[in-house]
Amino acid sequence: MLLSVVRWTLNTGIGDFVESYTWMFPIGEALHFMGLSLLVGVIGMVDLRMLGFAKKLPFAPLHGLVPWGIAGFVINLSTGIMFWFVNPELYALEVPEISFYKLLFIFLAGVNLLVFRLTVFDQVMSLGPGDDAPLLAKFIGATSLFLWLGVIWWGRMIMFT
Amino acid sequence: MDFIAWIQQTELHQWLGESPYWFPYPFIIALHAMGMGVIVGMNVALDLRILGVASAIPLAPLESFFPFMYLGLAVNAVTGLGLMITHPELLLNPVMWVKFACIFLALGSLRLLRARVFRDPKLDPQHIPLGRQVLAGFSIFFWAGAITAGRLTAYIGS
Repeated sequence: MLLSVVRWTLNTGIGDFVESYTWMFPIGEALHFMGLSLLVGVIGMVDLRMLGFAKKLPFAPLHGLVPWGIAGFVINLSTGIMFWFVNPELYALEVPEISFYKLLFIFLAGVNLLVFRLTVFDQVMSLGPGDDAPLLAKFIGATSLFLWLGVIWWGRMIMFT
Repeated sequence: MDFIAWIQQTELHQWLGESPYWFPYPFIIALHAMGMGVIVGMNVALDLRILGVASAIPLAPLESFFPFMYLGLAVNAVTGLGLMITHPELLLNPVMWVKFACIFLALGSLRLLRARVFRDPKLDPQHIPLGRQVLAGFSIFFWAGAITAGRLTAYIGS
């Protein structure tokens, strides 16, 4: 199953196209690091505010930065798909467990975000300067930090197995 | 260069280079990426605020994120030193020095912006002077340069 997906990926010729420009893959990697920074930096600030740091900040204005965190995620999704087309054997056959954990952590971060939106989001958005977030929001913030740093961890482990 | 040969014969260099498992070398690499995410990401978020994004955010309370940025920076100084001991030949790579220069300029910009924006009580948060906004723009540029140069050391110059 995985093998046929790898074959299909290689047959598209997209990887060959990317590799026909020597600069494209390295620039993609640099963009992947910039996107990672944007995502972790912005989402990390929001998570830390929920955990009780930088409490003088009203929450809703801080949340106005989130679209830039999402932009970081989109950059990384795009460049990540590009990496897959260049090197499908690496991810699917050489380090399948690590790739799986990385995707799992991203998925769980998505579930965590969904839980946030469906539960305490409105309550948290109304937090003014000095207000404390509800316990569930703190748990969600800590989970988010753990998962996104975990995504970086698994991403870096791909190169070392 | 003798200095590089000297590093290469230290036990620390051998130990770091022979990592049989995820420790120590991959662990150091992973921490370096996490520290980067914190310092670069938060700094760029502050730059964006200065440039007018999410302008409802009051400026002074954003200073609370500086300890986290400096923690990220400290993690990366230590892990970066570890990476240098593992690959001392990188010191001969001009691209590596472009990275160092970019980091130096980015940190200088951060210091300046801290004093002139986040610690300036007279500043109108809705009308940040153009000079400070230009500096915030350069800050983003320097961090992008540091990341790009860092990645390119794997491809060019050595």
